[in-house]
Amino acid sequence: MTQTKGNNVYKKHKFREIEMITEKDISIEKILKSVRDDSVGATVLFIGTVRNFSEVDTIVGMYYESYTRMAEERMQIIIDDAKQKWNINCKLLHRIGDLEVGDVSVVVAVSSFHRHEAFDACQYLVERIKREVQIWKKEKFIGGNERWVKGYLTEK
Amino acid sequence: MEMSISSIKVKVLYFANAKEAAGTQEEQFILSNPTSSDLLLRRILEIHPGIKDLVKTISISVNRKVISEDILLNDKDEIALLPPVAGG
Repeated sequence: MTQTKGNNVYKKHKFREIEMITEKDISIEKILKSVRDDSVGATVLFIGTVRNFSEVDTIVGMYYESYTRMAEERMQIIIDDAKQKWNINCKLLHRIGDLEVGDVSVVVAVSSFHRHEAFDACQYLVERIKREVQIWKKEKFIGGNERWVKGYLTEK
Repeated sequence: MEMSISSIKVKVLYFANAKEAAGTQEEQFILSNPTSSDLLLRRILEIHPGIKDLVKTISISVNRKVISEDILLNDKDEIALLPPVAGG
């Protein structure tokens, strides 16, 4: 008996073919280049950065961790869904580890023939990443306190 | 015919506040066969009572698929306790 289903095979091959979670600094330029080609008329770039405040206190940094394999599989599903809806090129990259205020935590780049598709798809991708991908973050406050950011339940 | 195994070994992963409550990122469990996911969870809560406060908000995945009901575990399964996610 085999337990491997058809689309698991697909996912297995996809895994790590394209890195979507990284511990290294994100190069925005590299990501932009990866979604560009001569047929593209519009490119939309979302850059998430660590900000210096929350409703509780001043933030000095943020710690991110991931269930990397599951997270990248989920990100691939989100990309596949977006590509069903829009004719786009896109690239997602999320950073994990210890970040400082101002550091880039996530980048979503989308290119398409026309701007409307790129804007819509970029927002769709960002919202789904925040709600569905197995990434967690902890705010580090000025006095030394820390707090896990309240997130979204992973549903089936 | 599948060979029946009297015990199975599974890996459990903890993340975020569940990791802190467990005091570890990863653990192996040797379980009698059959064992269900609910039974494993009960065992985890006995060993790490700090997770009890979080369990209502935690999703469980088996081999990276979130489960919505009690299922039987297999040898080498990878179970993860997933607190609410917060990427971005």
